[in-house]
Amino acid sequence: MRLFHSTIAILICLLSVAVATAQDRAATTPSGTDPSAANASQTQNAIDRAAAANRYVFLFFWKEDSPQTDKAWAVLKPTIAKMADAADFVSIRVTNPAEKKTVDKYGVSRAPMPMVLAIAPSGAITKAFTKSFDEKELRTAFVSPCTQRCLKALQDRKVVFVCIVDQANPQDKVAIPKGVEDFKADKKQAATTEIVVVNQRDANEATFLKELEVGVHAAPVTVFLAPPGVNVGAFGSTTTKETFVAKLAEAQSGCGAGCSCHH
Amino acid sequence: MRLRTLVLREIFERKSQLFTSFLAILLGITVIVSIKNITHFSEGAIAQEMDSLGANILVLPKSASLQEYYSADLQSETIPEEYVAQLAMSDLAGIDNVSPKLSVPVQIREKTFTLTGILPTNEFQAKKAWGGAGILSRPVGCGNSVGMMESDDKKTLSRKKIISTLEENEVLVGSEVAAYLGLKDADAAEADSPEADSSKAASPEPASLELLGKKFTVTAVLPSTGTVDDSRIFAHLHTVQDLAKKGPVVNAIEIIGCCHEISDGLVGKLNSLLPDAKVITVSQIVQSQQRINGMMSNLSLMFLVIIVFVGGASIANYMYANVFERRREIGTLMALGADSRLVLKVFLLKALLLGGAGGIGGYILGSILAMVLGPQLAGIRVWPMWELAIAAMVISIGLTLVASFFPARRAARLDPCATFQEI
Repeated sequence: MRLFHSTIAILICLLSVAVATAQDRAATTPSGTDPSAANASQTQNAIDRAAAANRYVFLFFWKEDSPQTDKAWAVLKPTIAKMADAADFVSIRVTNPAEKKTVDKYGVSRAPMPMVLAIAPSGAITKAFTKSFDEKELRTAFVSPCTQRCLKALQDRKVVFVCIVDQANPQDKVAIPKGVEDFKADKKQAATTEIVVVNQRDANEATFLKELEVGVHAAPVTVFLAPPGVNVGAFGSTTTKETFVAKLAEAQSGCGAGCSCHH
Repeated sequence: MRLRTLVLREIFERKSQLFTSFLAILLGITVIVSIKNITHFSEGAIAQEMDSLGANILVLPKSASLQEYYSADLQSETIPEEYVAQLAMSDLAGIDNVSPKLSVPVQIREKTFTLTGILPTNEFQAKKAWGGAGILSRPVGCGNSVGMMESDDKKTLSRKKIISTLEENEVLVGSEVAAYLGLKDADAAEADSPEADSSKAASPEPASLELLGKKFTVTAVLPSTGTVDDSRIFAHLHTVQDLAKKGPVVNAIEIIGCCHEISDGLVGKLNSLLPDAKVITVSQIVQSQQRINGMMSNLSLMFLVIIVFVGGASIANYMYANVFERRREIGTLMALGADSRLVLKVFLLKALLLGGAGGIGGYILGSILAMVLGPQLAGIRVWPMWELAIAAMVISIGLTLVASFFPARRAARLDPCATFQEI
């Protein structure tokens, strides 16, 4: 009889833990509303609120209660608490019909689950994490403003000219290279071209400049990026529009050497 | 008596023995010609398939066999479509293009075709840009293709094996399907082609096709490629998944990988990324098929050895017996003035005619056999090869001449006096 009571007690405890975990994961935001019940507009509102507050939002997509989901949640939960000042979190169950709009917007209905998308205030997806990840990896999602702008433009299938300048006074007028301006002024290219100016003295952009693999005192130089994420090259200030067009066409023309090695 | 008459009389002297010797050569040559013929066209078909495939790495279900993949990738086993997103979002270098496929059979009137679901690149290429700031330093080249302003010409599918956009109610039909349905290029609703625009003016209603209960608009008629793609109908992967009620799965994912990275172990990395799938390079498939072809070549070599020993021994035995039984006639001929060279010529010419007939007959029979069995055994069309005619003649005539030489020499060296003493 004692054994029976003990077994019942253990089962009740396990059930309580499972329910608590599920409720925990269901927290839409740190305020604790239920995400599964939240509809698409509520999710979008959460994203918009985060953007307005210049905060990141981490979208946690999951499909079912599984060991992988539990593991991902176990990493996310303590990280959420630590990042509360910089980021919000939204949990989205992809099978919830109310979330279809959000799921379709990010095209994750057939993505590996669980999955975390880090959305910057600019709307750029700064990193995607699938299945297993740790806190250190989650923190790499925070990027500089210029990186955000570049990623956003590339995700919108635009080419990006990163004009690296040397400005002692950030208020000074920036001189955009003529070739870049001409490219942007072209009717065919205007809608799909983004110009991002980076002051090489800006300490916040040091990592970004390092990523672009240009020297610390390289300015003035223009780095030409193409979607989905290709560095076409670094160019001097005298580079013409025709050169940029030609370089882009060259980059689009094929996959380069070594693409047909199956014989 | 003229040499020709002597040879012809000699040939038809012992018809049953002649027939068995001829049959040995004929059957041997027939088998060699048919095996070589099928092997040759099989190798050609594989090379063409590989060219048309475009991809050099395949991701298949663990249990899928290569044979199943060859048969229009209609295997019952599937892999999750999420592998495509995993590949797109991975930081693996050297993946230039990814093309998932799901194929199901569809009945159109009396004939069965293959409906293949494909995923346009615009639906997963964006995920490549989710790699964070790390993507900003990827240089242009293999594995880092620029994905914007692509041509929306749907016909590029037959050449590049990828398509940038495809609506859920659109289909692209292969040339064989189009011919069966009586569809012409002008009937398709291709948007970007100027030729199509002008033809649309003449034919305002684009052709439509009902498949598995859903109505599709024919967007393009693909040019002929001479491969299994000619008998395919391509539709959006998600539409095919819905119609086949198979869920978010695919039969195979074709990958164009960069050579350098493949050499650096890309396949191993893909195996680690997708542990529940079978990742193989096309070169492995080619090697596998080459092994089969090698076995076929060895088999034909074995037949060659058998024909040399059995056929040669049969002819030599036939000739020796002939010389022994007809030694009195040979002696009489020589007593009448025929010299040794004439006797040698008679027997060697007989061998030459026997070998020639065996070679020609074996080549014709072997070619017919290959043309009949090729489509059934290897699923390929086989045509006669004149190179094999020469080889068949050389082997057949060479063998009969060598096997007949010693009996003929013995006949030529017979002493007429000695042969008469035996009477």
